[in-house]
Amino acid sequence: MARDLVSQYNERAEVLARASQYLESEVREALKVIRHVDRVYFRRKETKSFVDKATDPASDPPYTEPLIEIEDQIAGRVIVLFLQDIPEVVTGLSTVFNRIEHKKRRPVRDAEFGYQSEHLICIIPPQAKPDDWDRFDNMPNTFELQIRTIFMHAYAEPEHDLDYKGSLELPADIRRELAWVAASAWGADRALQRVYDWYRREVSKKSDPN
Amino acid sequence: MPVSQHTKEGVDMGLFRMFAYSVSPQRTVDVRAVPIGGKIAITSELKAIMAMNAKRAGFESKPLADFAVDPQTRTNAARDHIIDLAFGGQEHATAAALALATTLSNAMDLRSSHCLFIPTVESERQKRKVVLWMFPSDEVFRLVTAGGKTDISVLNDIFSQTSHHRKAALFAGMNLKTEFLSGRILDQQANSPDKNIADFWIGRFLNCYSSITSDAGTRLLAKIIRRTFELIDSPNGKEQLNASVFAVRHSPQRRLSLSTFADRYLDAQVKEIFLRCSPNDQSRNGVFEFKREIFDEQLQFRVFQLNTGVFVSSPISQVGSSVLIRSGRTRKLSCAGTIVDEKLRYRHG
Repeated sequence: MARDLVSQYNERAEVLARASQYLESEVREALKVIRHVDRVYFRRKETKSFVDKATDPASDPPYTEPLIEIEDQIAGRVIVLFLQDIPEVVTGLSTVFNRIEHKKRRPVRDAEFGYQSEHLICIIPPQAKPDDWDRFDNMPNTFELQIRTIFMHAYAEPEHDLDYKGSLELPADIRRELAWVAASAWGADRALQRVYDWYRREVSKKSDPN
Repeated sequence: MPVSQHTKEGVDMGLFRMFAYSVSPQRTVDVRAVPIGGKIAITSELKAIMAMNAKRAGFESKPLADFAVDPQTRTNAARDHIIDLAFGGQEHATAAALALATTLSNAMDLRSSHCLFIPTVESERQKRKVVLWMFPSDEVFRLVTAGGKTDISVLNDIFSQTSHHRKAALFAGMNLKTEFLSGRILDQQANSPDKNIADFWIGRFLNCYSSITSDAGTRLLAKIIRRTFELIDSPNGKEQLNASVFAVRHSPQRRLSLSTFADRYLDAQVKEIFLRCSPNDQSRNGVFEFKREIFDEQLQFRVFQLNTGVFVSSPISQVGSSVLIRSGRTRKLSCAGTIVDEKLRYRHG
C-alpha cells in the first residue's frame, strides 16, 4: 500500500504545490488590509510525511482513502504579532474561504502549558485549483490553515521537531523545560498585548487630547 | 488552457434509490403538513427519463456550492440527510428523503406553487451520486377525441421537466467526512435580483454558499480583466474592456460569474481571451456577488503611454471627465486639472 501511495501522491505533488501557491496569494490578498500579519506561507505535504500519516497505526479510525481524507496535504500558516490579530485574521479568511472546521488548540487542563494555535479546515475554492486538477481521481477537497502569534510559533516549531515528531521519549525534567518555554510564550503574548493596548491608548489620546 | 472532462460527476453510475414527494409551500403557514410520497420502484423507463433530465441539466458546467458546515460540530443538516440517503440502510434513507422533502416545503413560501421533489441515488462501488430534483407544477390541457367528439380537460398534478424554474443539486463522493462538501447546482433563478428568490434553493433549502465568495470572485474578475487587457492588441478590444468595467460597476445585477460577465459585455474575440485567462471551468461558472468596493481596489487606474514618452495615470472615474480620449485614425488624449503635487523620478512608475 505504501509504495502505491508514494507513486500516487508523487504524481499529484506538483499540482498540489501549485494549488498551495494559489491559495497563498489568495490569503495574502485577503489579509492585505490587516496590520500585524508577520508572515503567510503555504506548503504541500512532503511525500514521506504524507505516507507516514496515511499508514500510521495510531490513526483512529485508520485512513481508508488517505488521498481524500488527509486534510493537510495543502496547508498554510499565518503568523501575527498580537493575540488580538488572530480573530481579525480568521474573519478576513472567511471572506475568501468557506470553512468547515475551526478549532482553538490549547492544553486540555487549565494548569498546563503547551501547544497553542487556531486551526481552520476550509474547502479548496475553484479558483485555487490548477487547470489539471481534475486529471487525478480522489483529489483533496479541503486544506488546513493555522493562525498563531510569533510567540506561539516560537514554541510550536522546536516542540514539533523535538517532541511531537521527535524520536526520543523525553524525560520528565526535559518535558518540564518545554512546558516552561510554552508558559513563557503564553505570558509573553499577554504582556505584548498589554503593551500594544497601552500604545494604542496613548496614540489615541495624542490624536484627540479632549 | 485545457479543460478536463474527467470529473467525479461525469462518471456513469447505476440508479439504485428513488423517492418522490408532492411538496407544498409551508414557510409562511401556521400548521405544517407532511409531504406526501415515498420510495418508488425504479423501472427502465424511469431510469431513461432521469438520465435525460441529467443530460439536459448539464451539471458539468453548473456552478459549485459548498455546504454551510458548522465549524464547531462539522455538521450541516441537509448534508447529513443527503449522506443518509446515499449510504444509510433503507429505513434511514427513507427518513432522510422525507426530511429533505420537509425542509424543502419549509423553505418555500406562497410565491411558489407546489412541486414534485425527486431525490435519486446512483451507486458505483464505494461512490454514490445524489441528485435532488425539484420540478414545478404546471397547468396543461388534454385533448380528447373519441367517438366523433372532441373535448379538452385540465390536468392537475402535472410537473414540468423542462421548466426554467426546475431546480437540481448534484452531490457525489464516498462516505467520508471530507466528501459531500460541495455540489453542482442547477438553478436558473440563482442570479435573480430578488434575493428571496435567488436564495431559495441554494441558501434556504440546501443551506449552501457559493463556492466562490463575493470577495474572491470580485478580485478574480478584476484580475482576469487586467490579464485580458494585457493580452489584447486592438484599441477596440481595450475600449470594450474599459466599457465592461464601467458597465459592471453600475449594473443592478450583482450576482454574476466570469461566464455571464463575458456573455453580457464582451464580443466573441475578447470573450475568448477573457475566458482563456480564467483559471479553470469551475471558476468560470462559479456564481458570486459582485462587490464594487473590492473591484475598485483592484482596478483603480488606467495608465496611458503617449507617443511623446508621457505616461498618464488616471483614476478610472476621471476617464471621460477630466481625462478625455478622442477616437479617430489615432487616439488622442488630453487632460486638464490643477497641479497639487509633483515629483522627480529616475523612471516612470
